[in-house]
Amino acid sequence: MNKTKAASKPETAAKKPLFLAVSQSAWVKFFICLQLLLLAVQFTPDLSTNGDDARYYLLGKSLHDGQGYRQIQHPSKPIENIYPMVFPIMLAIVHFISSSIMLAKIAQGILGALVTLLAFYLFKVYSKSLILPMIALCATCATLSQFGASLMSEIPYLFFSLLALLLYEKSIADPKKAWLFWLTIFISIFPMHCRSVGLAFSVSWVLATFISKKYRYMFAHIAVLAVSVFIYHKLTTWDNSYVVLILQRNTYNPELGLATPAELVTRVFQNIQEYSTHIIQRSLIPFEGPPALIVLTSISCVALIFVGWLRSMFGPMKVLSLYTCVYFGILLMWQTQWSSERFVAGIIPFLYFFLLQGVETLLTLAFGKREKSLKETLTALIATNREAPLSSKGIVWALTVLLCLSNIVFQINFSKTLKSLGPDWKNFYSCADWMRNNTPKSTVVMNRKVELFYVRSQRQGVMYPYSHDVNNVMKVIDTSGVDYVVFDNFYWTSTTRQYLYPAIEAFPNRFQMVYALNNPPTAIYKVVKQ
Amino acid sequence: MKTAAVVKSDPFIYAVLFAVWALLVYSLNMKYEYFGKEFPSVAFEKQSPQAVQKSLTDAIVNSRRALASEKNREKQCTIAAAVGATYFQIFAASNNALYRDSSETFCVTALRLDSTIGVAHYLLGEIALSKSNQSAAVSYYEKEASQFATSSLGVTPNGLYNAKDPTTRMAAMFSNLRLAFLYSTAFVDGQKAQGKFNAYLSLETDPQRRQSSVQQIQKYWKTQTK
Repeated sequence: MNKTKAASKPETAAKKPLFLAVSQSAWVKFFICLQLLLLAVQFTPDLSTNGDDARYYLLGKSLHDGQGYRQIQHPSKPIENIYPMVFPIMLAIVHFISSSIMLAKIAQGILGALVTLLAFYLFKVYSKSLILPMIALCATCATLSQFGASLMSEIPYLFFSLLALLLYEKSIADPKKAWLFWLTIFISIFPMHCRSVGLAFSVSWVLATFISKKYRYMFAHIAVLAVSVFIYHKLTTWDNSYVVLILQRNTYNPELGLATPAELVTRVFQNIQEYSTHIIQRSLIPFEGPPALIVLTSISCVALIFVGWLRSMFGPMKVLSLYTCVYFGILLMWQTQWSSERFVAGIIPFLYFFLLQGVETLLTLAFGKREKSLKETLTALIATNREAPLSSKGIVWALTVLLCLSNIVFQINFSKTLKSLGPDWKNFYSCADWMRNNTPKSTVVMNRKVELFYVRSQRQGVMYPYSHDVNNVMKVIDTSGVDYVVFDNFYWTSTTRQYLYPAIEAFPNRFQMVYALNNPPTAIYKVVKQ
Repeated sequence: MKTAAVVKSDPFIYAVLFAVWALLVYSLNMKYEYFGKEFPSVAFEKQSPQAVQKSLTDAIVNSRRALASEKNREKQCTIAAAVGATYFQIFAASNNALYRDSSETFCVTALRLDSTIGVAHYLLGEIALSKSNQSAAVSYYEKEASQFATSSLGVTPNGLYNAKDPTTRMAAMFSNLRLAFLYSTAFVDGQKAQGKFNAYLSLETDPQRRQSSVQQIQKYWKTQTK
């Protein structure tokens, strides 16, 4: 008992109230409550118009219904080859309670709050002074809230990567616990099976454990990952579609072929420009303002993140730095039309941490205790993970409050647009309603958003091929047994106009209009069978 | 010891917090039915007359504002026709003649701005028919029907329905149907009735309505043959 008391003394001292006589634990609870409030404001009970969430939802339903890992929205119900399995399995578990989309989204919201909580426990290991500002930023982050309020795999991915890193730290601190070691290894393969970009997690895990000579973590991870990939491959006939997606010039126009090495290099530079001048700002500090201010903010963020990243790289947080580096390496290879906040979401807590650490490092260099030379100061800073002087903490907090406010205001404004559908979507869903009310269940519909259309209309569908050859489009219509085609008028894509419409125009006798809406023009054509 | 107790109680506090949040979000959204919220036209047909009237009145207020502020003649014409159509819908739901008069005013305004505007002739035909002025109705329906090329899918080089949108197509289709009935009853002309009904069939997209129209017109024609 005495020993326990003695051991708890330094811990109690470390956890003394930071300011306003409120404990760290109470502040975390406050931030979690704030996050839940913001999530409730953004909450919508149905699927977003993204399409991916509908796909995850249907994969979960397929697993729950015992149909296997299949695309039930497709008439031939093919095995899913591209989307990793972890998130659909989680949704399948939710399906056992209820098939309501709302329930799945509530569970996702709670997972979003758990991400903040996990970030707190993980980063507490690395920094005491930055932990509360970092948690405040994670809790109010508009990008994280956006994905916490939709059925996307970003939040589960973040959850498992943070959990794996936390378990790793716990396991290192207590190496005698074999169960903890195997639990750590088991969880460490989840990011890879949650999102394909999780490859970055596994690569950096192997690198970091190799550099820090934690070989058993490295070999165990490689072995378990290899077994899991083998099983996944056997179950789903996993193909190389994902690699092809990266190498294609433009997935929405596959006839353009694969990118050359020179084009890939250009793509990397274009992505660097896009991420460093816009996307990082939108992901971390979203606000509307003059373009110059946005670019300046984004570049400043990147510079501070880089400083924080460097300090981590040469300090005790190598695994975080390596992971962020490999993650961005994959993002930069991605087709430029897909570069967005969505891909940054998977590492936002790390970026916030590096950002704050960058600020703290500069403040310590400017106002902190100086050694004889800059080199010695830097060495001391990295080696001891020295904290900023008290006066600098005020600046870090002021910056944090500013960033939090920017995120909160953005979220409140964004929630208004989130809850109202655009006229193009209203007409598309109206077509789905028409199909549900006027056609038999066996009807097959060709449309642009097969998954969302299926959820609403309960009619299976196929996507038209991205081909300018109208005969090719007609061939898919005939071979897939398509009964109806939907001519949408989505403002965000022109693929229907490019690929489906020419076929309707070229074969007017094969299409009979059965339902049409205006503003914007949207129609359902019945396919006249040959 | 106190800190340790706080940390130990954390899982319980968070579990309660998440449960309360889940219940709160569920209760706030429980009335939402995913398939209960149908989109434009489908939902429109199922609304009660009062609800229809309310939404249409709101639409009119907005359209009138837009009409007042619009400088472009072409857009003015489109808005006037839309307001005329909306007033006619309210008249159809409420049977209040004031709305019919308002509809007529706006349709005439639209035609004054552009004599080829779709729908307006059809609506004036409907208005004339509701006033039992069948000869005026025939004249309006004829104008509406003749404006529309039945051989087209409603496709223009600039895109789908830019000129011949679904509303215009529907107006032409119903005009032909009305004419087929009028030429079968008030102004008996078998040949014209047959021609107009064929034109209607070429434009009809709803199989149930087509079936119903065929049955009705055949009933008239059988009566006349007897």
